[in-house]
Amino acid sequence: MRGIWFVLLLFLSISAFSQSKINGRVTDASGEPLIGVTVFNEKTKDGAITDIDGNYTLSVSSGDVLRFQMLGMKTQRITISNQSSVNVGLEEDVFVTDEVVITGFQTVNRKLFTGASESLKMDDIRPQGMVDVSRVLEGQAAGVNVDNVSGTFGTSPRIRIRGNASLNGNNQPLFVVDGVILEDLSNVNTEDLISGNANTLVSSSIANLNPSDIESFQILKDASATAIYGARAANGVIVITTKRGKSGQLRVNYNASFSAKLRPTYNQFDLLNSAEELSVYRELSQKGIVDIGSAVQARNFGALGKMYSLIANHELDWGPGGGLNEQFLNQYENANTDWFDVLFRDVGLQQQHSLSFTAGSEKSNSYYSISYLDDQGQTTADKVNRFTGTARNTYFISERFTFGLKLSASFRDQKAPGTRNRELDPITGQFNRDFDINPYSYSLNTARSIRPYDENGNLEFFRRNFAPFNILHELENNFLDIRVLDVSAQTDFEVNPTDNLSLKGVLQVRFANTERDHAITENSNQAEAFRANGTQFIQAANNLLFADPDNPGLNPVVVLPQGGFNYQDRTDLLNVFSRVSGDWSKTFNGIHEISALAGQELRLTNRSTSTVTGLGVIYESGGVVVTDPNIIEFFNLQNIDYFGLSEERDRFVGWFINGGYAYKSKYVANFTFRYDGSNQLGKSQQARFLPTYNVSGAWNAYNENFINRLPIISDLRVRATYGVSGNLPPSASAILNLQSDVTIRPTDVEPLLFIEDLTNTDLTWEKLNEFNIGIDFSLFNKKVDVTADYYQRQSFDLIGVIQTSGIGGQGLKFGNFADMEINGFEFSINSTNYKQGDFTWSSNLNMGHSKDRITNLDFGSRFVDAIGQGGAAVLGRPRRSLYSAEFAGLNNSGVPTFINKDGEQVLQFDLQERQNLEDALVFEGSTEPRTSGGFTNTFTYKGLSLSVLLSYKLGYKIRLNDAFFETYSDFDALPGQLVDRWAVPGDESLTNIPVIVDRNVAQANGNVVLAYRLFNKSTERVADGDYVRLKTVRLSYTLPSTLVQKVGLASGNLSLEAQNLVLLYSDRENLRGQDPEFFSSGGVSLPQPKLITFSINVGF
Amino acid sequence: MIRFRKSYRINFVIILFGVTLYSCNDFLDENPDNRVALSDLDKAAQLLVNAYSIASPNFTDWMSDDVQFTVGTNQRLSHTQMYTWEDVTTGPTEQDSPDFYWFETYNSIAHANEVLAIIEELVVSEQDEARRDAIKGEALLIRAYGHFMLVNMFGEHFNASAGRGVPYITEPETTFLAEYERLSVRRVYDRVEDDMLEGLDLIDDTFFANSGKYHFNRNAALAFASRFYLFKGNFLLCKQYSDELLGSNPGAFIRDLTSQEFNIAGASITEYPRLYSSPEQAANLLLMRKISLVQRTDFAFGPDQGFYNSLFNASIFGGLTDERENPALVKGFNGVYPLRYQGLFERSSLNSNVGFPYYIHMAFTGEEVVLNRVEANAYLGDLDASIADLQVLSDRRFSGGTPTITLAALQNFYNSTDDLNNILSYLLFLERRKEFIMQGMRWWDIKRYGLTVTHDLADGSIIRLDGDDRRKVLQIPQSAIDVGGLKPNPR
Repeated sequence: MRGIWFVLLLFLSISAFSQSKINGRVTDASGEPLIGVTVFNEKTKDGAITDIDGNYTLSVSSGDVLRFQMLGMKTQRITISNQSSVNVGLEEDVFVTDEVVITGFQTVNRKLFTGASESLKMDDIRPQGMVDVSRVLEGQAAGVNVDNVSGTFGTSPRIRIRGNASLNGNNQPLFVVDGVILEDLSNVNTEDLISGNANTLVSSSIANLNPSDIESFQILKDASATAIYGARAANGVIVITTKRGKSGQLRVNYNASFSAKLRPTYNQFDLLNSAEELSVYRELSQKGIVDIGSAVQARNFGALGKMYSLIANHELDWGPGGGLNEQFLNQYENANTDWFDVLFRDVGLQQQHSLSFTAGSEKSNSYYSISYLDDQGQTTADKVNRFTGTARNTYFISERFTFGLKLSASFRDQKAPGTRNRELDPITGQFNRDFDINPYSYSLNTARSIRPYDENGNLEFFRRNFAPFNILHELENNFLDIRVLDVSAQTDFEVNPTDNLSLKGVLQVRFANTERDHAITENSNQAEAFRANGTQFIQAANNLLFADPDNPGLNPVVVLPQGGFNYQDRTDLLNVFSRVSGDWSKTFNGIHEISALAGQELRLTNRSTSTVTGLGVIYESGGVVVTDPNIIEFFNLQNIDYFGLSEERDRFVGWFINGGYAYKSKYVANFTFRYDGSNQLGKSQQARFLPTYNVSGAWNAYNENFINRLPIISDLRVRATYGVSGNLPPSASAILNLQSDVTIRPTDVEPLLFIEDLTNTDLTWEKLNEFNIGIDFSLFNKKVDVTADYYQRQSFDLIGVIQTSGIGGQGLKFGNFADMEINGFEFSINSTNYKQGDFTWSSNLNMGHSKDRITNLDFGSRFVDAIGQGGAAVLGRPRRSLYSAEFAGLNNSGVPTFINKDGEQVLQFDLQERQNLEDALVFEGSTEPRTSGGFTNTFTYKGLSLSVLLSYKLGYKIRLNDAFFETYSDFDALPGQLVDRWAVPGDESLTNIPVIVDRNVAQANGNVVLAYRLFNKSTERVADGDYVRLKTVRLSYTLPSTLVQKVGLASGNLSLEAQNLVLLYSDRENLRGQDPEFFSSGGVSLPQPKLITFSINVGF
Repeated sequence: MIRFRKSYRINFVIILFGVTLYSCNDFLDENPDNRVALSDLDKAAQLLVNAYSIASPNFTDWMSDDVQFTVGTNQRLSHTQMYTWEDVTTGPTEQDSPDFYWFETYNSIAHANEVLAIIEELVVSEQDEARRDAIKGEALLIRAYGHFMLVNMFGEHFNASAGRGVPYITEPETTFLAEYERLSVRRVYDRVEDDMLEGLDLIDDTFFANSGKYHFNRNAALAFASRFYLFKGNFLLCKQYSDELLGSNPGAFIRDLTSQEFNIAGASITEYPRLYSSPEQAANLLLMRKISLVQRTDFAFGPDQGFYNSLFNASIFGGLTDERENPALVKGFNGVYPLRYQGLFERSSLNSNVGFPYYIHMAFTGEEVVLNRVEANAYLGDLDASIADLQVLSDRRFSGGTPTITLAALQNFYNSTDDLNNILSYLLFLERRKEFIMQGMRWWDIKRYGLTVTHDLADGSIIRLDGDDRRKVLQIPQSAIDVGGLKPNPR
């Protein structure tokens, strides 16, 4: 020992005498000089800073260690021997390397992080054509399930991390952007994301982000990872880190993508063509379902009804012998309208441009970006423009004080087809939407014998809602205009009073304004329907006419004599977020690493919403309003408000403390405790607070000698966590909640208060116990990286509705009554499969599997809910269990029958019941995928790279869209299977497609009609959801640096990619063209389009 | 130096946390939405606007002898169960069922209890004290009325030894799932009486806006007292409160169906019921909005046409027209439905066909008080007074001549040597039945007098509900047994 010291001292003393100057140049990875790099001689404590050309000069002695240090770059140390010049290339210190975990609160060395998390770099996963950041994660991370229930811009996909923790509460993960929780623009229940209602377009705030600004994602999955977020983190956390400035020269980056959205075609769907439709109409006519009497009185009609109505007006003759005028019908028989062609663009162009600037010196750095998105839309009725701008500066005021400032703004202007909210008919379990003009639903649901244009090329009108209707005309006259302005200002500071301690603070103020303007012009069908009073019958049947209670003898009258409507919805969001924390860490003797974090978080969110309806707006006259006073009375009598105002106020405070200890970086222990308070349960002191905690540990086994000597293994660690997290209960109040309304009665109108919730002193937050065990290992010199996790989650005190004794005054109460368990595992394998010279083939396979089961539920679901698209919670089953009525074949007149709970063959049964659900219905499975994941293969050769992503979902069932009815109208599209329908007795042994019922039969027996409603919810109308989708294929080419430098650029990249190309596997036989992921719910919902994108990326 | 900085830092953290801890309760006191605090008399009065049950008691008619099996109507499971006197199993969401009545009536009681819980604590100015008393009076009457209707539905008819009644709720529920206990019918009546009399004492009509008919006004309270004491068998008090309302001019509280106004309205099937149930009718003492299907002719059961005709033909005034028989609507193939209620509909959205059918229910009418007084006077032996009231009623019911009632004529009509008292009661029961047909009143008379009911079924068979049948005491909801811890009625 002493000898060594002696040699060392000798060595040092020698070197001390041989001091000399050294110089060199510091550059970045692309060879650009770096300015302001600190070059520090660790021994002499002497330092220098690189000049504008990246050059430095410093006195050194042989054996000295030079430290090259710059923010945003990885620090490098070089031991000097006796060279006189050292040129250094610094690598970018990208925060998301595999080495650290960004929790949003702190950046933790992955070795010391005990939770389950996954990090993704935007550059690696980004599909260029994707303009909405939330969709990027599909198929990319194990256990993160993304359902694109609608592809319309602005709608949020259903994202589930490790299944759902709640029955009725919010199940979307928490999004955190640069340390700040991103609040939604408006509160939309997770289950409502599939509704297609207009508010789904403005539910998500993520759509306001510029994808090019995003550096990385960190997905925090288990309790240990999310514990620091306390309540609201039960569904996982997605931490988004945006780009920041880098020291050095000004760099400019320009990214442009041009996408073409391909039009859907009828090929994939199974629908009758117009000739086949006409043959069905002839049967309808034979069976007396459509005749001249019913046709002229029909709410909607197509070709056949048009014929009858022209005959009735003596504008057309009967056919020979008083039959159908075949000559007239012939033109529709041959129409075979391709509605997709009419309503969708052949190639909807979408372009996105993003320009960013980064620059910096040792005192500050900055990042600026602007972006512009222009989406022509898939259909003629939708369109999006989005502008975003971000300015982010970081000031290094002193070595111990850093101050950051971020301003961001985005503005969106979007057009969508006009829509009202859908409603559930509790008797049949069907959702109805009035005046739906969604182009996709329209294409699939409208008869192909209807023509958009007549033989002279003019718009041809048929009838809908008793008024003339042409979809192209309607889309022009009935549309939504959406404007979203989202502005935020954020400051961050970090003070390091000592080397071990850092105090951080963040404050963000955000304001977002959302305006929805639904124009229904005077020419629209929706307005004309209010004026449809042509015949006595229509006067009686049209419920948009007003039967004056003061003049009971009179016929119903028109209350909208002129003009149309204008619905305006406006939501303002004000969000203030602040957090202060102190982070202390120290390593003792190089063995004991101790860290501690404590802080406080405060959130304030105000949302105010107002809705106004303009009645009798004449658009052609510049918006003059002519309001008939009767319309106000008409609305009042039906409890329809033409003005609405509501406010939501969310207040949240949390305190947290976290401690960690690592012994020789081998054994790591960690705990988090958090105490949260919220005002959402009302002014109740007991209910408002929730403590959550978590303990976890990890063993970095590779640091053990006996492991790292093993030949195959190149890394190994084992993690385990246990903890409790919370979830804010939905729509529950711990204290008396009185709401106001107005009486509904013919006279004596008064304001009133009603009891929304009684005081419930037992109310508490929803909670989740979670146990997670995970392993990370690498094999073959880190060629294969594997992460696997197994977890058990017990959700308890879940809030749900329970039927009480009623005696307290509230028959259905929200309370903590349900428990659920979720078990699952997930793994991901990253591997470099082949590497030879410049050619590399690497792949990533990830998979998440979760199985949920309700273990306690005091109050069962109604049958009608359990047979619907979304399924319902049932004890002992998954939280979204789909049930079916057991189909028992067609009876001898071709009407579907079912087995009821007593085993009898019946036409229908009561769907409002809750008892004996398992006896009466057949369990099909969960409507949520049990297993999902992705498989990416990337091939690179020099600058060329080909990447193929398959995404898959397995283990769930889908309720098919309603297709069969007791009768069909000549307005509706007809399913292809109708060709095989029951026609004569005996057919019941050959087919399961029900008969078109004779009008008299349907009228005489209401059960027959209900039998068809039930048929659509029967075992016959279910498909497996399993699918494998070729999600993305991308070919990209990075231009060689020699080439780009010649043209004066710093970097260049071209790529061509295709998205959503094809479903490689699905239950085709049953789905018949229906997309297993997309809920065709009309309104504003559209499926994800097939997208071909060309993009370029250049740096200056 | 370093030492100083450290302690400074720690102090800073402590101060920061201290400040936030101190202020956080205020911060979290913010209301999450536009909920309303029950903080003044206006709010209390508005809460009582909604304290009138939306459940109609008229489903009891389907259990009574006023209906027969009706062909061609939609008969939901609950309808059939009631018609055959089975326990109704369809749960509280099924309107027009005992469970719905139970849940909605306790809901109205809860509204009253929330008001009563705070009304004394409200700080009000001196001139508002009278209003406070009036609001308190209305809340007490609502509470009394709700329990009174419940105990008559879910308990035996009042007698000193009657079994279990219903829980009498006087305080807001504050726990998630509370347990309750059923009081005896007698004790429920005692509580009802206390609340009712106190309410009657405090009620003051001057504070009602509009017609005041949708609130427990003083007249309605007197009518309630009249019914209460009639049911309790305290005829002196029944007469006393009836007198207090009717005074010497009972005709003022009886709508005149022979009038020109009603005659003209009779031509319209919408105008007649509007007029009949209008707040402008002095005879309508208390109106309530009821979510119900009873006014719909395409559901459930109605009087058979033959029975209906014979009921109104059974008149001591042969040859005169009983104006109560018409207008009536056809119900199914063989039923009729006397037109008293408007068929109103509350749509869930503008173009929707989904929503709630409702009608305006006449919870107390002048006619009822008149007939209560007839009955009380008959029991008290003042037959002349009874005859006089019946005369006033008949004058406003029969047209085509002058209906004159005398005891002799009655004796003659019933061809009976019975006690005069009884003979009078024959007419009284007939009048009650005709006056209130399909208005949810017959069932109480069946219970009060232990009448036997028979019903015919679709296959022609006959089922029977005996006078003392236990099924006359409706079963309480299953969840009240399971969750509320109540004992079910014996079966």
